[in-house]
Amino acid sequence: MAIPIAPHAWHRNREGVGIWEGRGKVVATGVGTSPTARRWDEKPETSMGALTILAIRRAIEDAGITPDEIDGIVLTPESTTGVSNDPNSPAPAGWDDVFKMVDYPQAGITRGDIDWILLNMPELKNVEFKMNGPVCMSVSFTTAAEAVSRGLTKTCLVVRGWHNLAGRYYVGQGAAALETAAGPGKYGSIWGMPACATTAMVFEEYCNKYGKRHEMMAPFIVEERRNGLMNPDGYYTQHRPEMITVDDYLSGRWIAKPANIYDNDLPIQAALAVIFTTPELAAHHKQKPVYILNHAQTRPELQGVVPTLNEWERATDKMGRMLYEGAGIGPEDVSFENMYDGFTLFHQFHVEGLRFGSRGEKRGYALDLYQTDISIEGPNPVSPSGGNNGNGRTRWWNHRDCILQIQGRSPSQITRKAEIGISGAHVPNFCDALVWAASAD
Amino acid sequence: MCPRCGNPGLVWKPVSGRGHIQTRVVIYDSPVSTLIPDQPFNVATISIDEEPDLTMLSHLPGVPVDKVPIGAAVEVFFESTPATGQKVPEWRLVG
Repeated sequence: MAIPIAPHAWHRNREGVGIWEGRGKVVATGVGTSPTARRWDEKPETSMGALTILAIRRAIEDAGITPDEIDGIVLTPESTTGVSNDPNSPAPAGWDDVFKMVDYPQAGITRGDIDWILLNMPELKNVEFKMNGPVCMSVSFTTAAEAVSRGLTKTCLVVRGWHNLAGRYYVGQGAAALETAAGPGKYGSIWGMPACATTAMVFEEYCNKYGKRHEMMAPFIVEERRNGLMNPDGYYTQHRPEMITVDDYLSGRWIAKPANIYDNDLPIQAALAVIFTTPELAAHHKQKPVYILNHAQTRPELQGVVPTLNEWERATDKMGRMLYEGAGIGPEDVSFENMYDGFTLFHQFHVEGLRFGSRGEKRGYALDLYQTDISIEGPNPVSPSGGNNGNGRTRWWNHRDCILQIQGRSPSQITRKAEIGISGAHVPNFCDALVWAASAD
Repeated sequence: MCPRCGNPGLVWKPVSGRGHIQTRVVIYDSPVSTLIPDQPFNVATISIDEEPDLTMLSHLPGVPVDKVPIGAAVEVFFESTPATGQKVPEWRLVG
């Protein structure tokens, strides 16, 4: 039977709905992170699926529980945003010597699959709740939060793996290698834009409107890498532990000007698993429970083929208002923000939507904020996880770090007390975000 | 259906074919193999005069990279693709 996705009714996508009914009923405890790699070396034991299994086992161990306590899994099946194998490609030779296979031959290779995990992790023998959070792990987090709060699962794994195959992520791959364009792609792909170009366009519009410049991004880029290099699980720490400088950033080669190479996150292989449960059951978990105070969603309201500054500002303003309303807090209560940064040039839209670090400004202030102390030691820690830019592309370092910060064990722990943090992904008008807190009070 | 308000009653309406340049990028690393020889090249968003939030894309033929006049008036014309002859809307500066 096909695994369902979260019902649309679970989305908290409008204002005026009050405090979230699940507020204080769901906590995160254990976190498990796999090793990273730049690309898959085509060995089963280093596949996305293998990394996922490892992350799950680490999360269970980290929580100090037994596998038979897990009764639910929410997983994001998509494991890349680049061009990948044909879904019907057979598994490589030797794959079935290592893993049991479901009907879908790319399960565990280029697509996450709950049934594949259960088949290959017999210790997860009590899983009854299964649901997919499509597209982004933030969807899985919000889905799992609803599922636990509604009593559909008591101890739930939230899971996402990423794969990265040989070859360039997009360039000259798939439809981009053809001389013609067909289907919906013909409206956008014929212009030849790399993935970051849409963000760069809106960023350019932002700079023109508010009198900002691309080089004002430099302190943020450097600080994110610094934060990422504190993370022993991050790609850069494990494989390219070099700090970058302002000069590196300013001399980075253009991809879609004003987006340069450092504004683009690096695709990697990695997996994350997190344990969600109830506050009552968390009492016997090893890690401090981190409460979820609210979650919210925005989705595109596109009228053209690309978003506009108006749309992204409208969407992120709405996200900020929804999150605060449902959590019963305000911007002044937020200790740190870990909104998405891949691509870096849209991070400030999220920051401004939350009014994070605002001194009364509503819009056009974030690049000025970047010129102040945004470090983990400062009063306004921006992206303390280091995000994708500091750790490699996963769309989940930011969520993971919210849990670790509030538990007081982040490798880039902020100096100010980490009481409430916000994370969300991915783009400004297609975002699922959560408010994490040390307490439900 | 309107993605913003959910109104299902959308209908096609003719427009003047005029707009303004809203923003732009310069592409240095295109994924599309056939366009790589043309790098670097412009891609701009065009805001339609009758509906400013409705945007289209253009390479702005003839406009040098880094010389795109943001806010300038443009008008549509149609180019044919070399592979199939498909008509594609493009935009050029007015005046």
